[in-house]
Order: sequence, then C-alpha cells, then structure tokens
Amino acid sequence: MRIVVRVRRAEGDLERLLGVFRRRGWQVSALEARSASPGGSTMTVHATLEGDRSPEVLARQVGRLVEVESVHVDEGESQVARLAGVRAKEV
Amino acid sequence: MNGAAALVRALEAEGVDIVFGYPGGAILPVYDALVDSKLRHVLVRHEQAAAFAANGWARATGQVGVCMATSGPGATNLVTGIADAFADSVPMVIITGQVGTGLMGTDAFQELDVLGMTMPIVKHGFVVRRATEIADVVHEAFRIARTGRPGPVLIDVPKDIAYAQAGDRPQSSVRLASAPETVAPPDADSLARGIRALERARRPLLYVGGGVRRGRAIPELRALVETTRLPFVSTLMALGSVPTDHPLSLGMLGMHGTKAANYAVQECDLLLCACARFDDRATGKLPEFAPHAEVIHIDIDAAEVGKLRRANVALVGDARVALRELARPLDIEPWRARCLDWKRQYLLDPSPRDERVHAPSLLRRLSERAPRDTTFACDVGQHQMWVAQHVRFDSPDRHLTSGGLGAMGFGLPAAMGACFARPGSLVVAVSGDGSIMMNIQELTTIVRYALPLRIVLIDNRALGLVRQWQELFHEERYSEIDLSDNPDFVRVAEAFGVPAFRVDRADQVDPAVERIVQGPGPLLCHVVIDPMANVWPLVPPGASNSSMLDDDSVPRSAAGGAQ
Repeated sequence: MRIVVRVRRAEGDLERLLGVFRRRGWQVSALEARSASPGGSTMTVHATLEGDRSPEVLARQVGRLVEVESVHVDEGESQVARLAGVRAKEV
Repeated sequence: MNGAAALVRALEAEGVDIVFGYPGGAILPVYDALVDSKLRHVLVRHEQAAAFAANGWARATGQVGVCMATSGPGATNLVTGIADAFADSVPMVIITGQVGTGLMGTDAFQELDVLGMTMPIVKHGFVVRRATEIADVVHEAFRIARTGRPGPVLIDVPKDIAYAQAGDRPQSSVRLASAPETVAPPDADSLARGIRALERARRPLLYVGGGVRRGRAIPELRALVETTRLPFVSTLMALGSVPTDHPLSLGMLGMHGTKAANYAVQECDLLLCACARFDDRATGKLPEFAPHAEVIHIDIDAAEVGKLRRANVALVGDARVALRELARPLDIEPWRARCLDWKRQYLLDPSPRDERVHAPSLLRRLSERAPRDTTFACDVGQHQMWVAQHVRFDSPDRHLTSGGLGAMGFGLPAAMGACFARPGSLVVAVSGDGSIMMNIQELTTIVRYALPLRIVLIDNRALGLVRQWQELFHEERYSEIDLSDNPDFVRVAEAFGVPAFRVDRADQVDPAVERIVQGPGPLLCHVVIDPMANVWPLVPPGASNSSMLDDDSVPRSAAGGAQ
C-alpha cells in the first residue's frame, strides 16, 4: 500500500507520522520526505507500507495529526485512490 | 515582558484561573512569573497528581485543564496523567520546563525529549523556539485541546526562551490546522440512510459512549431517548448521559456490565452507536459482538468509524445534528418490552450476604443518601466497577473514572480537581487499598487547601481485580496480589491531618454513610471488606458478552468462598 501525506511543517512532524504508521500496525518499506523548498512551510511524504489492516482506517488515523493537510492512499493493484485527509480534517 | 510572563499572560487571556503543578529548575522562570499573576497555582506533592488533578478538573468542568512541571523527571511523572487524558479525550494543556536551547541534545542535567516521549499520547506537542511566539503557541494549544475530539496538548518551554524578551504583542502565527472551531454536520445522504435503517429495524438499541458528553450533545441524546423510546446501554464513560435510573436504561454493557445490557446487544438487529468506540472491555469477543446488528456509528472522529466494527451507516461530524435528525418515534413495543423484562429479571443484587461489609450495598446506600449533584471520583479496580454498577448518575460529569487507560492512582488527585471545580458541592473519592497508595501523598495537598473531600477507601487487603482473575482464570495461583501488610489507613490519614474512621461490620454502614454525607470534610472512611469478594457479572477475557459469569454460575471451589 502506498500513502502520500502532505503536512504543514511543525517540529516532530515526520516522527509523528512514522509513529502512527508503526503503532497502527504498518511497516515502512520505502520512504521519501521532501519539502517543497528548503525551509518551506509544507512537506510531502511518500511511503510504501506493509500491513494487513484497513488502509482507509490508517488514512483517517494519519488525518488526525494536527499538521496533516491531506492523505492519499493507493492500494496497489486495484489502483483505487482515496482522498481521506480532507474529510478527517473537517472533524 | 519575558517569555515566561508572556506565557502566564496568555494563560490568563485563555480564561485559566487555576493551574496544578510542581516547580523545578528548568521551569523556574515560569514560577517566577506566577508571583505577579492572578492565576491560582495548586502545589501538589508529586507531578503525577498535578496531571490527574488538572484532568479531573477538566472532566468536571468541560474546560481545558492546565498543569505544569519541570523538565526531565518532572515531565516523566506527568506522563500517566497525560496518557489518561488522551485515552478519555479530556482537554488539557501541559506545560513543561526544558533545559536551555543550547543544552538541548547534549544530555544535559534533567534534559529529556518530552516532545518525543509524549508523541503517542497527545493531540499535539510544541517546543517553543522563540519567545515572541509563546503567546500564539498557548492560544493554538488551547484551540487544539478543545476543538473536535478533545485531548491533551504539550508545550515544552526551554529555559532561555522563557527568560528572553517576548515583546508586548505576539509577533508570529503558529496556527497549524485549517480546521474551524465549529464541527461540520454529518452528510445528508448518510443521515437519510440512518433514518431509514432505524425505522426499518425491529430490535434497535442505543449504545451510548463518552463522546456524547465531549460533543456537548447530552440534551439531544436525552431528547432522542424520549422521542424514540429506544432502550439504551452505556459505556463506563457515558454513565449518566441519560440518568442511570431512567426506565429505558439497561445499564452498562461489557465485561462487568448488566445481563440486560449484554443480552440486548447480542439480540438487537440495529445498534445505534452514539460516540462510543467499540472498546474491547465493552465488546468482549469482537466477532461475536452484536452479531445480528446493522451499525449506525455517530462520531466526531472519522478514524473511529470502521476501526473495529464496520459501520453500515457512518455519521461523522456533529453528534448534536445526528441525534436531532434521528429522533423520530419508533414502533418497537415488543422489543422494548423484552429488554425491560431482561432488566427486571436480572437486577443487580446489592443485598449484604453476612455481617461483613458488602461494598456494593455501601455504595448504593451512599448514592441514595448523597445529594444528586455529588461527584464521585474513582480509582481503578473492583471498587471502580462497583461504583459504575451501583451509584446513580444524572450526569457523566459527576462520574470521574479512568476509563481507557485504567490508571490506578487517578482517584484521589482527580477528586481534588473536582473539589476546586465545584466548591460547595459534595465530592467523594472512592479508592482501593492498592490504588490509594499510588498517590497517598496528596492527603497533604487536601489538608493544605482544606478541601472538604470525602474518601471512601475500600480495603480488601489485596489487588482485588487481579486476585479475582487469578482465582477464576489462573486456577487460584495467586501471584503478588497480597497487600495484607497495608499500613493502618486510619492512622496514616490522621498523621496527614485528615480525620478518619473505620467500618468493618455491616451494621456500621448506615451511620458511616451519614457521617460521610454530613461531613465535615476532609474525611477518610476506611471500609474493610471480604478479601475474596468478587465483581459480578463478569465476561471472561476473550469471551463473547453472552458468556457472563456470576456468583451462582461459578463452582463454589472456583469462587473461593466469596459467598
């Protein structure tokens, strides 16, 4: 499962995100984190995760982090993309 | 104005009038600023009690509780209270001192990465990096703590930042989230599907969770119950959301729930979940929980929907709107009658069995005699379950209990918080001989602030709930549950300056209850009970909620003479 998370930069942002992946039962097999520009106000994280729980639920759990602006989940073969972050942020 | 003064001024601007804490080296500048402030600081005797007291204050008031401590060990001692607030969605702001920024990352004296350490147990954490930002950080922390699903927010303040000039006005913006303070309603299509599902159901049941109170939706919940006449079950956190003596109340569900509640859940064909989270203590064996039911799940937190049980209808957003829209009369009389039959058939029996004190009877008597606005704060263990089963609650804000975390040591400091929140109204801490020893030093705080707290210490000279499990599920192989060398709690209390008396016979219960209710406080009532007393009913761990044990269903040898 691949997940793309866009965060507003805040101290500890990447650790918080990785902590949610681990605690919720997912293992990171690939990871890229990049700010739009050095010192930029946002960062985009692309991760490939392995686990057997619901990717949709994980997306909503990631969306609970205060600094997360959007979450996009791509469940591999089915290529079904969902934008879960926006809904999670509204609540 | 330095950063510490700006911090204190920002707390005042947020309407804070009480802070629970304990000073130390790295937070010295903040304590210096407190000298010139109108904020009331309550000095506890262990930082854990500061966190629990702020937590109890927040539960009692519905407002953001504030505690503070120094870096390193001060911060680590707060952690249990923060985790407890996170587990039960209690709004809190926690302020910790930190070593100076130049020393951070050098393993300095009392340096600890509190931001990193608390990540899994806070909604968000800040390290203040510029004194000019401090006011903005405080305001953002309060906004996050109380918005959406409430929770604790950490602010770590390095000492040099606290001493640096902050200016008189905030000069930066640290607003993180785009979320508005208002909560969006659930979407209209889902609401329409929910209404149809409810109208179609023949055996619908309302399952009430603690989020109803957090979402300020109690009036809407009560209106829904009156309009639909739905029978309802409550989680531990929700008790009192509708008065527990309401005719349609089937009681608490789950491990120590009533038979009526658990049977109704197992038989219902629709479960209307109002802001509960399908916790394992409530559901028992999850695949066998409500096996015939469609689920309508109302929650402010989208991440709770579908986490443990698939929702046929998800109503994510403002619970008040959802409950208002779903409140329509239902034609379910045969089912309602069946639920109420279960309720009549399986009343919890609190009658004493012999001349010894029977804790459920004492608690029921206390609940009858105490004013209806009495606050009960519990510790964790058998006594906590007896309070949930036998004390009448008109509001969940009057029942302070560590639900999600189950933290022994919660009761006494949480009750202190409630005393500050509700001066003039009766506050009772119900504790056990295991739990009270985890924060017994706070008897000094109770005396220092002349808190009229009544403490009911139920003493079975054991870690009772652990002993019960070892008896029932580990073949009576008792391991490290014996507390028969407890101190004399009456003398301990008196040494702290708290008047105390002992109750060890059933015929002493009524006068003891009168003394507890009439006061004056502080007062400790040491209640000696049968060490082999058990909490019934009980769903064995990992079993379905339909497999409830009670003292009649357990062989006498396994029950160890509890009768």
